Amino acid sequence: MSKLNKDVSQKDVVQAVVVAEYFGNEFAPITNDTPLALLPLLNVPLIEYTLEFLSLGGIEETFLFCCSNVDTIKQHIKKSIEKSAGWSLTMQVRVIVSESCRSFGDCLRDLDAKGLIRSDFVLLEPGIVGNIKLLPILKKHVDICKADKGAAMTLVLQEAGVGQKGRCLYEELLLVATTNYRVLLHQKLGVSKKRKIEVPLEMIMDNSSVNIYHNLKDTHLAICSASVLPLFSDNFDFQTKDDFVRGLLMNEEILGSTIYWHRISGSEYAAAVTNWRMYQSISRDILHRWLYPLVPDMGISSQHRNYVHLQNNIYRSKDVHLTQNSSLIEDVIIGSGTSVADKTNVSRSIIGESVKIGKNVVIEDSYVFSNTVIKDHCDIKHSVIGHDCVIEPQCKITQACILGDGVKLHKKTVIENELIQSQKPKDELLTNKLNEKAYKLKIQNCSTEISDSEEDGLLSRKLLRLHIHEEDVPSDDESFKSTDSEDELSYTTSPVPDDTNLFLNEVIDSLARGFEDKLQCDNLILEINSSRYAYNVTVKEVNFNVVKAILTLPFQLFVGQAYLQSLRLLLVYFSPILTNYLRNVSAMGDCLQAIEEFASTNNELNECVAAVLNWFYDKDYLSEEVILDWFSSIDSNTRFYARVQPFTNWLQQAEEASSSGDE
Amino acid sequence: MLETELVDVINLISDIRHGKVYTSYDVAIHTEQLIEKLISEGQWNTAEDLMVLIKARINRIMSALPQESTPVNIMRHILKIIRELYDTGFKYKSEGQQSLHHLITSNVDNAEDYSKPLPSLRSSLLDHLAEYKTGLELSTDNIATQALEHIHADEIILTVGKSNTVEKFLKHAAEKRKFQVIVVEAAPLYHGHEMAINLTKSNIQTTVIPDSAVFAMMSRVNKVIIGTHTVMANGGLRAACGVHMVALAAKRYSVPIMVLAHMYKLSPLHLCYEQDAFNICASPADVLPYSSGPIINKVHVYNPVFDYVPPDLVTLFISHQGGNAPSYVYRLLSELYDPNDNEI
Amino acid sequence: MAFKQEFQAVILAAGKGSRMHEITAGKPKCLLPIGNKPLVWYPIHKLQHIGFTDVILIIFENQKVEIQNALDKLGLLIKIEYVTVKNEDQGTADSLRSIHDKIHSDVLILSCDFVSDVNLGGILNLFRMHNASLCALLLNTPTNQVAVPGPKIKYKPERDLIGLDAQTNRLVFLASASDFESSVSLPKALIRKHTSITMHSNLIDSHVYVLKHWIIQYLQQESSISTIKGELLPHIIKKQLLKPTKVDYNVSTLNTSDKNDIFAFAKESDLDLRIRNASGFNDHYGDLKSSYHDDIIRCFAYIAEPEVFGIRVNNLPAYYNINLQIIDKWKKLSNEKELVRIDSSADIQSSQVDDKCIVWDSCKLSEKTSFKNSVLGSTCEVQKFSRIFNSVVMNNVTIEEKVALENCIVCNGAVIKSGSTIKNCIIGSQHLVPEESVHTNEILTVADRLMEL
Repeated sequence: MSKLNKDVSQKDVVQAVVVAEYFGNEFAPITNDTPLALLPLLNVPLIEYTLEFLSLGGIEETFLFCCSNVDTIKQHIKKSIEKSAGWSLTMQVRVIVSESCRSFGDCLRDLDAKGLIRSDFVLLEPGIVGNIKLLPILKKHVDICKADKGAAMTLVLQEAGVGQKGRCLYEELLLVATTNYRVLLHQKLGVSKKRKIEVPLEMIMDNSSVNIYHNLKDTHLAICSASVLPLFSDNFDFQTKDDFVRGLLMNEEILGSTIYWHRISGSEYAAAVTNWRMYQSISRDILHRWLYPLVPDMGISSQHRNYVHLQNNIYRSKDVHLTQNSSLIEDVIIGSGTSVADKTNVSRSIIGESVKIGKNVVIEDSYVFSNTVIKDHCDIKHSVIGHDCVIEPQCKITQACILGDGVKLHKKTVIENELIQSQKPKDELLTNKLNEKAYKLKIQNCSTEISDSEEDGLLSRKLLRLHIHEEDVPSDDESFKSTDSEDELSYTTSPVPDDTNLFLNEVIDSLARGFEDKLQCDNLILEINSSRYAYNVTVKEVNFNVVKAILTLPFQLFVGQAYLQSLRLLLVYFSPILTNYLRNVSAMGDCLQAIEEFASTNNELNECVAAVLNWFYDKDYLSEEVILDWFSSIDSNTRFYARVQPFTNWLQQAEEASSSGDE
Repeated sequence: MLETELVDVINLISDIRHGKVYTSYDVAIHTEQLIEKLISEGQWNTAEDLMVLIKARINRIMSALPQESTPVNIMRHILKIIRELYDTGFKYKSEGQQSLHHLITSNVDNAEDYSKPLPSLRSSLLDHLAEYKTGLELSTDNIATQALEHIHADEIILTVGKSNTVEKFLKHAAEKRKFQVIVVEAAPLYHGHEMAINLTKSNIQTTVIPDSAVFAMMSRVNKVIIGTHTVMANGGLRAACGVHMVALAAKRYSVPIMVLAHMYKLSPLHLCYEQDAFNICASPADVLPYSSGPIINKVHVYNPVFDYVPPDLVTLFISHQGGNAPSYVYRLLSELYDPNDNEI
Repeated sequence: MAFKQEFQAVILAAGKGSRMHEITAGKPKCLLPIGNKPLVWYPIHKLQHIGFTDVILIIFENQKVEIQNALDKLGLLIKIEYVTVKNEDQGTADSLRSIHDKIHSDVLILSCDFVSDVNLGGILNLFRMHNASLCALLLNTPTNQVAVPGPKIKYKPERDLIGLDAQTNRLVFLASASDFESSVSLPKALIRKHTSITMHSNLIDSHVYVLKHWIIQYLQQESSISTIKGELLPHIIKKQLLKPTKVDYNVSTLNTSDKNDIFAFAKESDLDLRIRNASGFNDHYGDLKSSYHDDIIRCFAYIAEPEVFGIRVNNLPAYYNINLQIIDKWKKLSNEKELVRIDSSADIQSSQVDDKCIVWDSCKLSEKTSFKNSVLGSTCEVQKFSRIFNSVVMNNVTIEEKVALENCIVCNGAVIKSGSTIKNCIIGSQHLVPEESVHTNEILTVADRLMEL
């Protein structure tokens, strides 16, 4: 290990590009004042980890790309160099400023315009920590480029099991690659509710075998050839690195570029702080020394031992003031100058420098930045508290709250799941003032559309926030119950369900046309019957689907109008059809089933189902016995049941009345 | 002292952390070069100035890398050389070994004043340093030449992991004698494998065994020969993880343990200046890989790098001067270091 | 003393040979000659070699006599039980269903067209090792391509998509490439469970399967499944993802369907489960699930080594190829048996029979004829001045004088009149080739035979 492999950098200097600018508001309100690069991770600014990682990895020249808060970052870099930070001895850092960039892609386009990069380089997204030796990977990339002229990028990925907290659920990665590590499909599954994944057939057929991986974690690190920057400049729709990868893979023939991947092994580790959940898991991983030799007690870049590593992963600074009854339970870092008073318990948390913690405080799974004062009897769980805050006694801050810098909370404040900042935000409407120095902040999603995306938006917020519960959010459907339909499991489209669907669509079309063109119902019956034979549908299904079709029609024909009225019109018009099909008890059963099924997925019908049933009953399409039988068989917990109940109660009374009347 | 003035030490620390300087021998050579540069080009006039400079460096290294005792030991030894040369330059203290009586009764001469300038100090220091350097470079060979005294024909020797000193030692003996070597793998880094390959290149019959088999094999072993990272002041060792277990097994079967220790590995400290800094834990990935899944979040995994071996388990220390018992280490220390320098 | 057999062997020989109907019309596919033995001899011999004493052979009712006669002549030690099916269009699973009462143990299923030198012990051991529900044997694609007689059609091999878990070698996906149009859809749950899957598209399914006993019983209930490879196997493989529903003893359930779900059949003995829990064995890492993810249904695939030779003789190129190579491969295929190239009862007057020819019994080869690299079936007659190169001639064929036959397949009972020159053709069964005819790259047969499927 005493010789470094200098084969790669014979003439050219080994270069890396760090896009230190974070485009997004994940970390608000903390990032209102500090840029992401200076966000303290275990009391050391993030950028120090990145630079030290690059220096350890063998990089000689780094370009740091910034768009905002440039002065703060430049000052910090200057100070570090004065303090002889470890990375400054072996690596040169150049800060590149561009005020007008709005995305990752813009930054790279700007870099391309400046023409500073000469050859293969390492590309980092903001907030990366790692301990990988980069030179061997660079060499491997160079070899790949020699073999394949179009190789543009080598992605660096780490193997991580399913359900591990180090994986960001929001970034679940599906990778399909050849045995030569060439990437064929790269997809971030996110939190889409889809239960199937589509892999193009020719991808599999063209290669004798492909590997499908789901156990990889994106380290947001990539080795790029010199052709990457021009590709970004040529394609203006590449905004993020994922866009780039996706674009390249989709247009492989046109752009002629290929992407490879590399798996890091052994004690190598890399990850990026992209949201609070990753912040949490990376903090824990560093505390557990996965990032050795970048561990807190050996000083990340400061080359001073600031902490002592004790049992249970407790890192204690030298001049921490602890009392006899206070306890540091596990996974704790306490910065220098901090004092912890009596009966306080701190576990799985990171306490910054010069923090004063009062008596009887419980701090769990939280991050307290420096110079904060936390007074007695507070409860802080799963939260982040910024610099210079003052928390008065008996406050409760729980459930993934994030407090920005300088927030002051009054006595006995209880907040759960809020973002608080100390300045008044620009948009008055969106806030809630707690006191002079604490304003609630609501991050507006692009929601107010259909339920699906709002749920997704909320869900994704939840996933990005700090991890509270032990179980993962979307893991419950991991195993199917055996009563699941075959459709869930089948991956070939079997013909039978399709036919029924097609039949239903045919019927809907026929009826719609019939209604609009005012056709005779007899002809419609003929049409439906011939469709039935064409699709080989059983009688039961015909009845079922006819009723279902009629129930569906109001949406198609009377868009925007009240459902019940439109349905009534249609029912009246199609009465002959109903007479034809609903002839016997089993047909009535089918009709009721159709109503039930349709109501379960459709709110409008659910509201007026009683009226609909009443109409059917009045016109003698459904008899009491059938209705009551069917009613007794439906699940009593649904809203549907509640809706139908008044009607059936009335029916029962009527029946008793009529039967008693008979006797 | 300002960071800017300690640039040379900071560079050394950085090199050690980056892994550019890895083995104890390399660290020793680099430290020696650093001191040489400091003496020949540094800004100092009196012995006092020089000692202040060196002490600052010792502090800086100890605060950054508390486990690295080699550079600190060498610098302490240099301090002792400075004192000696100063004394011989001004006073005529008796040279040669001081008697035990003298050692105990001589109080610390606090009022030793090293501030008188001595013009020949620089050159004589450099001479001594050159001598010391040669001593350093030949240290391994000197130890190796003693191999024939300790290794006899048809013996079974056990060694743990990889050590350059032990390798040379065994190779030297193999030129004349035929013996077998059992190498313990030394998980989790498995350096024993490399060692075994190197030994077989010299036609030594080698067997590799896992750590768990040490106790089972110990009854057949004649001697245990190991290297170490540091020798503590009480004769104990700070050695690679797993050596304590081998030492206990050897003790159980009354197998002698010989530790090959260079002089720069002898530390005057007992168990390090702060107890918690004795051991470092490396990445848990060597023990439980990161791909193991959710179990990682439910367990604490420790991967300690060093082991403390108490002095009663060690039979013999072999240095370039010859063999010594652990109880004699204090004497060696008194020759190497001045007691005033132990607490800096 | 009666031992319970660990495995029972079944050979499916009731196929029509629809992919090579030109040569199987009117003749059982399993009796097609390969070298000097009929096709079905190869799998039977394999079973005999590995130690089976009985085998169940499933054949068509109307071919029974012919097959029985042919097999009796071969002098096999293994005891063959003939089971007939009446319906020609029956699927392989239907055949299995019909013999379910004869099956008492786990079943090793071979197809009659399986010719290979693989060691069956490999797949049987894999089955035993994991106590698997089903095990399939996969072969690597052979590389050589030879010109095939008959019209020049490009034979597109049917390819299968086979998905194996990279860590545990479990078979998690099996489908034919023709089932998909443009994309393959995989359930997300499959990928979350088996995080690293290798999808092969170049492996050949040899149709050698080992099935657990309960699958045969389950087949009784699922009467809609009619082929093993097309329906039964994908069905069972998909079921690996299911977990049995937990029985809630507090609520009385009304079983409204007549069917039991698959877990009523697939049961693991309690002792096996306890042994597995007590041992530290886990077949995979990466999550906290126990061994095999607690699956009761486990499907595995055994990939034969690259140097193993194996093909399924179910299409024309395969049949032609194997005949050309049979002399080279004979030793391995027959496990070191002696090859009797020329039967003792053949009457050979010719002096130019090269050492790559195989002549069956009762052949009559006149003088001044020349044979190179050909197979001549029983009771063939070749008259003077004829040449036969690189061809396969089946039984009872008469070849008259001055005939030049190259790269052809001549089926049973054909007659080739003198002076003909036939190259790269397939001559159908009982066909008469008139004198002085010249044909290249054709199928010569009675017209209506071509319609037979």
